[in-house]
Amino acid sequence: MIVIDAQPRSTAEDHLRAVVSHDVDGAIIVDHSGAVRFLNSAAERLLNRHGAELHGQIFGFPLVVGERAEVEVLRPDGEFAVAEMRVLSIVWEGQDAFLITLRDVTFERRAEAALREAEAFSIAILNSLASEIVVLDKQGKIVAVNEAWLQFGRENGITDLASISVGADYFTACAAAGPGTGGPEALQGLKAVLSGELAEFTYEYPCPGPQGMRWFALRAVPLRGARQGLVVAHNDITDQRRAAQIAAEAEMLREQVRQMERELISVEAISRPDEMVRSLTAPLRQRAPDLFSYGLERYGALLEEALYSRVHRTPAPSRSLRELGEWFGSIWAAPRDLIEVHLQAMRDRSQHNTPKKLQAYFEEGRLLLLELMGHLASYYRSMAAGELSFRDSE
Amino acid sequence: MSKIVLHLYIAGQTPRAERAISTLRRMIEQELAGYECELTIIDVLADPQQAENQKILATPTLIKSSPPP
Repeated sequence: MIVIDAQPRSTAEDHLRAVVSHDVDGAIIVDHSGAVRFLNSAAERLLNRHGAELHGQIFGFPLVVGERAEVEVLRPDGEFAVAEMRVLSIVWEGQDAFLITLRDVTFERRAEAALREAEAFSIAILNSLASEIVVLDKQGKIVAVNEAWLQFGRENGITDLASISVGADYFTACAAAGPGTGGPEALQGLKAVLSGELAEFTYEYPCPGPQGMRWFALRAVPLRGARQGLVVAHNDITDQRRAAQIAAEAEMLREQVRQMERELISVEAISRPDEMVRSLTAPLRQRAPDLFSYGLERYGALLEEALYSRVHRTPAPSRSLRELGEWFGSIWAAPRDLIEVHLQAMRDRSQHNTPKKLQAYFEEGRLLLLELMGHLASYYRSMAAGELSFRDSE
Repeated sequence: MSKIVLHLYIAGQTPRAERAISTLRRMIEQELAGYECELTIIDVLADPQQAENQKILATPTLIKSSPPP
């Protein structure tokens, strides 16, 4: 319903009334006290109220004249619409008044809110992922990044985060990284995924950081949807790489132990004594397992001491080693028994130690074995020369 | 001079409502510095009946309850 005042009006005012009445936007004219003097049918629809009901009612005094502002329009059912409000000073029925136009923007604002919510949801998903993620458009420009990616930037001393954030050119950065960095190779793969030549692209590359060299796996897949581009995820695989490297080193050392064992067995086979002597000098492990274990225990203790001396740079106790050599002599041990003791000690340590420690055992053990052999040899030499009996009686 | 009592009607804690509140607080501090003012903020989503009683048609709307015009 349109409220029409019965007062005589000027032609200009009639013209204004005709324009306002047929305006598709809601129009409300309020006097200086803020009371409604007129409203058109679009305003009635927007407010969901009859004009007669509102005539004379206080709408409010508009504080913004000539500017645009957004207001919520309340409806009797408790619902509300969003309207863009503009206010003009006019003369109405011979008095100063305000023309308030209300454009219904409810749909647009709700669509914007839904879009913002959808975008926030997407960002929340991206941010909940531990991988560093960058989303690129068809030209290789960054259109989205996640928090993990920005955090990575901060940790690597990038102060200008804009250079790795939305708007930055990822392709140019890859190309500029130069040979040896993996940048050009990554760029080639990314372009292949973009052109459809590859369904996805994965690439492992090194990256120097404050804590030393780190390794990353890059995985790029096409961005499916209205906007074409790429989703590039980076995963820190330094730990996996390190673990694989350690396992390989450990296996290499174990293989060295096995190789040494094979060589010594061959040497032993070549220098095997004849049948008569063999019966007298059966391997210590076979003829006296308890003595072999005791010898192994003492050798192991000396090996640990040698390692301690190596780490703490203190002199190794060579007297104990001479005593052990003499002890082996006293039980008629042969050089191959010492080799067996040594190999068993190495074997015992090869399973549960880090490659670095194993390498140290390996190096110290070799020296220890050589020295022990020397002591054994000198024991037998002394015995042959009759010195031992002399020393015993001393 | 009697106390100025103002009621600001808003519809939820929207950025628009926040802007209206901050503008109004600034006005009270600067323009009405010499007067005793009392400002009450009414959220029509939380209290729709009060908006209907006062015949509030749009938000944000400011009502000066006292003194009378």
